[in-house]
Amino acid sequence: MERLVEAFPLLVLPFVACLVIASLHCYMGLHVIRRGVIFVDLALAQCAALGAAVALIVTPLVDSHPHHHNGESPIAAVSESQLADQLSLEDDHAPVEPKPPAHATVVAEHHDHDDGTMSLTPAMSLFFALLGALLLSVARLRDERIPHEALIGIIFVVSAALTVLILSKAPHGHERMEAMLVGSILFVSWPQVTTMLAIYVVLGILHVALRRPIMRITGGGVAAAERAGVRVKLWDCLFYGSFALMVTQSVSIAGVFVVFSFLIIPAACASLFADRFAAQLILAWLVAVITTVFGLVLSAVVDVPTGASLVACFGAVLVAFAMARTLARKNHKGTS
Amino acid sequence: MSPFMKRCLWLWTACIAACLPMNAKADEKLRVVTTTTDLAAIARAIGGEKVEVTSIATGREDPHFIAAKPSYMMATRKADLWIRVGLELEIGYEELILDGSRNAKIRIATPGHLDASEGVLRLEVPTQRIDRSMGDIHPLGNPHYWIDPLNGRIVAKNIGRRLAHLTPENAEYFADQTKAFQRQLDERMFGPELVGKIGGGKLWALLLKNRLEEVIDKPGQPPLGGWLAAMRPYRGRKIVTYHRSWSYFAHRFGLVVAAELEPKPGIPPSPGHVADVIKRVKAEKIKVLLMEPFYSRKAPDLVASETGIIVVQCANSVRGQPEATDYLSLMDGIVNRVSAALSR
Repeated sequence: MERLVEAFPLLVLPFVACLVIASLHCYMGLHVIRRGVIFVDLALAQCAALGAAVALIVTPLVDSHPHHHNGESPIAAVSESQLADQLSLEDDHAPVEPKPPAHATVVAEHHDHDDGTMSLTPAMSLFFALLGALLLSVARLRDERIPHEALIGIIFVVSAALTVLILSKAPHGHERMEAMLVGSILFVSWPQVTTMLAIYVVLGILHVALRRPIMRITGGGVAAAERAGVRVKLWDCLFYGSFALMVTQSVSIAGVFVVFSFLIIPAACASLFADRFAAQLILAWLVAVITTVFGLVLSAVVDVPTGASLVACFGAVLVAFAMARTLARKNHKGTS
Repeated sequence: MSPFMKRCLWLWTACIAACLPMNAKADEKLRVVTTTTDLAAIARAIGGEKVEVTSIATGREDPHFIAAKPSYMMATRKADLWIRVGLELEIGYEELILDGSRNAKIRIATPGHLDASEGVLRLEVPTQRIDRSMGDIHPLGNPHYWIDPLNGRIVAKNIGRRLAHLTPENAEYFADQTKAFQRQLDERMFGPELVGKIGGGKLWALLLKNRLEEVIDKPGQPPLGGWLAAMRPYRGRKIVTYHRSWSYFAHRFGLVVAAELEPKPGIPPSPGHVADVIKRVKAEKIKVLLMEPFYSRKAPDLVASETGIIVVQCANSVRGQPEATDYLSLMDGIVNRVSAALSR
């Protein structure tokens, strides 16, 4: 308990970030479940990761170190002979001569080490995710001889393999990839949250305004929508495009696993207990918020990585919901 | 109430009673948080009873990467001093933790933030333009500098000075502690007799100027002991390492790193490169491959099965192996393992 109180200020920002993520992901999750394209999130997130990897490899390290261009480093290097001169005097004098610490001269410069990479990474991730989204919506075959889910799987494995190929040439690529999967929601910053919020508000408005045709494809299936005169490819483009934009934001903050959980698990729980879309959405939001609280508290009390703790809690909640559902059914049968 | 429960209750009360005074005392201590266990070990040795030291890393992981846990930020939130290895070793996570701690006392370029690399001997400082295609090159030089005992000595001095600056009333204590630590280190490096006769600083100066022989070969001089004596027979011997993390150790004890299993620092071994290493090991009859326990053994074992090279798994961080409980025992362990393998 004491631990929780201590950790509380650290968990406020991650909690806000989770709320923002939940707002749009629960909604999109319901669409994704109804359309039966569960792994579209993993595929697009992997495309975004591929973009980040590409950005990593094409960004020259020098750009973030303008002052190192001539090989000069901010701290003057000490040579062995200089050290030898200091050391030979040491035995005679007191070794720790009081001297004001030289912290001011110490590198404060390499603050913005990743600046060069930072500026390119979001753009590259978004570009690759949108590319994946375009592929998903355009390459939909009319007669569905190859199911859409297969295409999603193919996009996922190929972009994952390409990421591995690229990162094998980048320093500590394996660790970077793991970092992308698990994320670091604990270290989220206010600017990251506000940027994400702004983008999600725009996407939210877009989806509310254009809900009819999108809902039609989700609700009745592609064939029915086409018969009704909906231009499926165009609307799919918009749907997957906004999905890609949403996922690149959240994955860069929370990692692939957490984002997938936010997308699918609250929506799945809600689908178990409600039938109407609006009711499902409200239930999904509730589930997401409550589980987030549990996940963050668990992470603070047991001191485990926050992302993994969130995912584990989501899993537990789904199990609880499934059990409740079975019980409810049994009772229902018993009474009728 | 059953007797068992009663006993439990007593035990519980005793525990709480035991903890209370400790808590009260802990508040007076200077709270130091270090990134690595090696810095923590040295800070403990210098700070003694006046400090409470926590380390972010456990010593068993790759120090380039750390997964975020709430406790890191909680530890740093109340810290009075943050110590980093520097030379960009912690570039992946330091700022995240410092930002997350929301502790103004330990921000970069404040007295509460110490870069332990001030004034250490640095190797492999790049002299030309660098980019990512060259691997994980650190523009300020190779950051694995702590396994040169000379640098351990300098880090101790840096920490001692900064602790004294933060609590001037304890300055004398920290100065004495630093002196004592350096004396211990010198005795392990050169042997106690020689240090007693000539003095640690002078011995280091002679070693750095390559004039140690002139003095120790004089008749009547006590024999060379310690790590230097253990490693002396193997000067000039070639070894293979996994990562470019043994340069300082090799430099200090006169070993030559003939090849690294990583084709470029931080990039996992590729088939072509491993084949090259195997060729080189065979041609130059290299006997020892040195690696940290947290790297995969697959590539080293392949090289071993092809060439018979001895794979030495050796932590270069405190707590990376059970016997490495502090800085001196860490160095003991490295010297023992490497010299044992080279003697075979």
